[in-house]
Amino acid sequence: MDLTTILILVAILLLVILPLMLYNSLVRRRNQVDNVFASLDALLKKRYDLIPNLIATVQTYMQHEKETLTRITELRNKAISGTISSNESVELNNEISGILKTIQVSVENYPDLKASTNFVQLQGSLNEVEEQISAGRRAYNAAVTDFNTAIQIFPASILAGMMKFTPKTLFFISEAERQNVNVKNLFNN
Amino acid sequence: MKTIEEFKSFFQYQFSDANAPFVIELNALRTKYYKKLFIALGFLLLGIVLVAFVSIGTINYDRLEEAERVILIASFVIIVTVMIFFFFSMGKEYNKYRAIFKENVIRKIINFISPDLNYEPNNYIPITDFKTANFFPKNHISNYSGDDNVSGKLDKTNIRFSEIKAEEEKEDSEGHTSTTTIFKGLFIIVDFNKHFNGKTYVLPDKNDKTFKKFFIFGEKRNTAFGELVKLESIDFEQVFAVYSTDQIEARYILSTSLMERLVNFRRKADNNIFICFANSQIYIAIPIFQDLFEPRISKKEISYELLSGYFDILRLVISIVDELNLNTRLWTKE
Repeated sequence: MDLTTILILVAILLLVILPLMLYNSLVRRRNQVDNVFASLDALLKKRYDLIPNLIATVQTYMQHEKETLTRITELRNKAISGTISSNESVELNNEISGILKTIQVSVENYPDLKASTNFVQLQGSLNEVEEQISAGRRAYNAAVTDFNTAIQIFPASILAGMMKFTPKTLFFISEAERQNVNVKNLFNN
Repeated sequence: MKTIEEFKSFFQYQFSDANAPFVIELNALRTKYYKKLFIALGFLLLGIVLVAFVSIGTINYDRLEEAERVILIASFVIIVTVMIFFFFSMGKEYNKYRAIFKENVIRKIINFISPDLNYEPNNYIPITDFKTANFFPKNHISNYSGDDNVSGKLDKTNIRFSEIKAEEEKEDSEGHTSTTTIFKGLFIIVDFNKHFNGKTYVLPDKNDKTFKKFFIFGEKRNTAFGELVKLESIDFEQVFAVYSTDQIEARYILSTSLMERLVNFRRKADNNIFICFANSQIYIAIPIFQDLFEPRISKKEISYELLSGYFDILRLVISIVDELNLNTRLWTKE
């Protein structure tokens, strides 16, 4: 075998292997995004499951927040109905987050409720799931950023164009949510 | 948290009295230790002189009579035996000295930092916990030892730490065994305030990521520690590399505030730190070259420099609970 043949073979090998490796790395990143999204979904479901408990615990005390409670029940039912798009789901869940925070703040007006073991436990679970959701969003954003960067970098960008990989959108996290929710501080103010 | 000024006055009050019973006891042991050391060295010198005389020919072994030979050998054996005895008994004095020092000095300092802490000079965190953290997966631990175990509950948070040494014995192709230190320093276990199931590592960043980032498929994503987790905080990513079995859980543990707190702690410690989150606990390893909480027998006075150094280290470890905000229990973990 002469040198030219070897060089040609090497070139062919590179031409085949490099795109394959690139392709695999892109697919892995895309799957990562999907995986994280699925986990995030599971966490949102976990929160939906907590809402009826929360309402059962607080409604006997919270006479002035009837509307809020009805609204959150509505949102929850809509969310679990399964007929909404993912964009709607994001909006809906943002609203749920907001309402849950309002409820936790209003609890300050009901000392009996605040002291009840049931509520304290529930509040712990809620804080936990809220933080898990926010972690899930951060993980989703990280996976999306990773994927978006990967498909924009040369030479992967050419391949991505051929495979019709398009950039995915990030979750919007409001400034208030970026801060750790510290209910104690809210109550102290 | 006690300040260094408070420690100064504590030191003045506790350790500056030369007539305190334990100081007298320490000094007596020191004198005994040095006496034995000098005797042992004297015999060593004698032995060397004897060997030298024989080897340079001042004493010609071949020309000695039988009885003289016996005397020569016997005296050499006696010299060596006595020397070994004194070195050995010197070691015993040192151990007594060390025990009294730990009981009366280190214990008091730990009590001063917090009365909720319990000190066991000869106990240490078992190897199973060290293996759970598994900071050095490539090394096989052959020898594991430690001392200075401190444990207690600070408010809601359990903390335990001790000085640990882990070594690996390796045999090369020629059959020579060599011992290398895998880890020497403080090993700390603290309760974490959130529940979690997987394992997340926060390790010193070896700075190799930056180069590998250039090639999008060159980055090592799966390691013995788990999958690489890229976090948002630039300050954090500069000093640490995070690996986890679960991308979401890693971020659940490493909240924005905890990342900031870890960066601050790292800065304060001014040392490499290895962190593992597992079993709802934090395992922290801080490599420290110096032997901690040991006396210096050569010094007559109890040294302020030595003790304030130990105090700083203890304070740093205890500060983990506050620095990482571990007493805040907003979640389901009590």
